[in-house]
Amino acid sequence: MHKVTIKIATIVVATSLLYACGGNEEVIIEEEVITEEEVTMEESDDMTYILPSPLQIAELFKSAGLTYIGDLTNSIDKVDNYNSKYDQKLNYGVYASNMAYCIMNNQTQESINYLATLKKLSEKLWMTDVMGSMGLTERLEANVGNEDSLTYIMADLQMQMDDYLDENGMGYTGSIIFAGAWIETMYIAAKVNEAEANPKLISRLSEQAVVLESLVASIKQNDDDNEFAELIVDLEGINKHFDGFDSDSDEDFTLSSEAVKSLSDDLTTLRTKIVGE
Amino acid sequence: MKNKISYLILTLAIGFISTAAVQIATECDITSLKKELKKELKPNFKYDSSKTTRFTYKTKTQSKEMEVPLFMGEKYRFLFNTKCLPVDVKVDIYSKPKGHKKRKKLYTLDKKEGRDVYTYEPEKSRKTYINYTIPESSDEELRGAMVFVLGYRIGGIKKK
Repeated sequence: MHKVTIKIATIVVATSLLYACGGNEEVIIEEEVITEEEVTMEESDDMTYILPSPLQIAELFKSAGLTYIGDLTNSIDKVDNYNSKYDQKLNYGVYASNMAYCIMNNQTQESINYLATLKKLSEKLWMTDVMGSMGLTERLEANVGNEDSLTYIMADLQMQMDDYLDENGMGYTGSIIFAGAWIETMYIAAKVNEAEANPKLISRLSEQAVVLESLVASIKQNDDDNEFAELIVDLEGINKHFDGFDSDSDEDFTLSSEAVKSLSDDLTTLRTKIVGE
Repeated sequence: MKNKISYLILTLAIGFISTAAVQIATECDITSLKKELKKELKPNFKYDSSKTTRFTYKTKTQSKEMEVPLFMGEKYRFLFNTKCLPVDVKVDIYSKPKGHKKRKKLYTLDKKEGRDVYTYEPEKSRKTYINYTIPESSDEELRGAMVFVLGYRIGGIKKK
């Protein structure tokens, strides 16, 4: 809590009619009165972090030439292996990222398969309302081949999810889901870049430093029970690859080829830890 | 006697206004307010994220801040819905977080009579900070909510 002093300058205009000897003369006297008012301000210690959607991240990479390599995504068969809420949240993000990747590349059947997997996970996470009434499968099927419409459908799903988490006071869940999605998208981009080096993809990988800072801060803020300590350490390890990044600077920041390789290796390790072998 | 009647009318009026204000905040359908904002994204922007900041007015002025990471060279639209505010909240957008020596104000929401939806499109930047200043109120039952939606457009600004 802190106090702010506001100076209020008030101009008091006093109009007096003074009658001088020998005639009527109007004299205006202006007087400035300065009053000080103490305003007690209660500042919230916590910054709220607005994290981007997995769809935006996927679109950023797509615009940089992210091509489709089918076997990079996580197998839907693994969904039953995720038994803890923590694993389910992280892998919900992973599958959401996979669905966005498929949508971006017109892989509609794959997208529908990932949607079914997300439904399954949302039920395990008691988030059944998220997809209940949206008719997403029908909408996806009706828009096969129309990438633009498919991305709008994905954006609707994101909005539904945000509403649900918001209304149920589960903002922290959103951070964990986003962590899974972010790691998966970064992993896919790094692997596509390994298959064929692309300077635009490297530029996109590099600029993700801005999100990682906010992501780590957001998870830390919601980790009163030390539940996410390991994830925080892992993400901070990834953040070390972006050491030269300065969020205050408007200059472009690009990782060297060696740094990208090393980042890719660490992303692969972390991703394997999340999705399992 | 006349004074007593005036006092009674005033008390009832204040009570009625306060109750109505609390009800406004409680009855707000946040999903509908978000949908109103979502319409403002069309045709060029896509929905990215949203945040509803719910609060209870206090006897002290409150300040709340949100950090919004952005990607340089892309285009963003910030949307605010103030319909669920029984008492106006000051909205300022800054270039840096609170306490930063280079913090610069980029935008102040200028509330207009009968208007609830406001738009701001930031220039090229990496992070932006939205600050809400919630005024004091003697009615500690009074609640409100500010609805924020972020839209994006990839390839909005050509890179140098």
